Amino acid sequence: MSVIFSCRQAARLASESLDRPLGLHERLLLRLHTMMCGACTAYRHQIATIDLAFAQRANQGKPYLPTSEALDTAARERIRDLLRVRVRQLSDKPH
Amino acid sequence: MTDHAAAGLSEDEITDAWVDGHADALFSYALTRLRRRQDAEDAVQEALLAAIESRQAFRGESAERTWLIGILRHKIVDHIRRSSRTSEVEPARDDMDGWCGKSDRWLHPPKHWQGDPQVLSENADFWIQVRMCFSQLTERQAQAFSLRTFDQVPSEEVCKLLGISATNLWVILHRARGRLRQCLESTWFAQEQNP
Repeated sequence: MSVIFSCRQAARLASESLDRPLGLHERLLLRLHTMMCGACTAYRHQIATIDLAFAQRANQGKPYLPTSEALDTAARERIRDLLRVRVRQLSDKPH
Repeated sequence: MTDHAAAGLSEDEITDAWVDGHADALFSYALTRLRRRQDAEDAVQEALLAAIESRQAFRGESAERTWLIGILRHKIVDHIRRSSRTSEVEPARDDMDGWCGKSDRWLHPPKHWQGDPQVLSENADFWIQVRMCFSQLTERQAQAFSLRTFDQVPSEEVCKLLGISATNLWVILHRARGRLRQCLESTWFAQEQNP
């Protein structure tokens, strides 16, 4: 298999194509490489799949990963108390 | 506060609505990016306090959750920038060294993945696996990748937020994607294809 440039470079360009528009020359190199290299074709598809899955989870109103544990009760109550104190301070202040 | 005030809620009820309605989601958001429990709790606390200060500015044009997450995002970015002097430096060695070998061929060539991103995005088990893989990223990789994909922030904006060059950002994202796909291939997709 004669490749014009390396898998290392192809993988790098495949990733950058998700973050910036590639130049004409870069697009051509990546296209030629992936035409001949099944592994890099798969790689390109894999990283695009991951990015899309993240974006679609965000579209479902969940721009975060699930947590194994929620905010614990002590922290929740500490935050609640701090907020209540702050609200009182703010409403006592003359406007 | 306008919609709550209109609904006749007291200040304490507004506070409760935020804490009980949004704190868990805000915590998940912060934990995804900061990863240390204590840091995530601090960020949620800071964000909610800031929201209380500026609640007059909330006009109900966006969903309350979205507005709170916007404030939290700024707190997290501040945290990352403050800690960047002490946090881990990107390793000089490229992760690709482990995969391509001297010949520049893949040692373990990536395989074709079955599965539509939309369907995957709705699979709770998939995200539990992603969380495990995501924990292998550096804090900076996790933050940059979250800003790009979850928050859909343009690259130039991510560079400004994190105070890094475009080239640096591309390297960080390339490594984040490489690590994620390698981990997911050997876990989730290995099971999918060889049940």
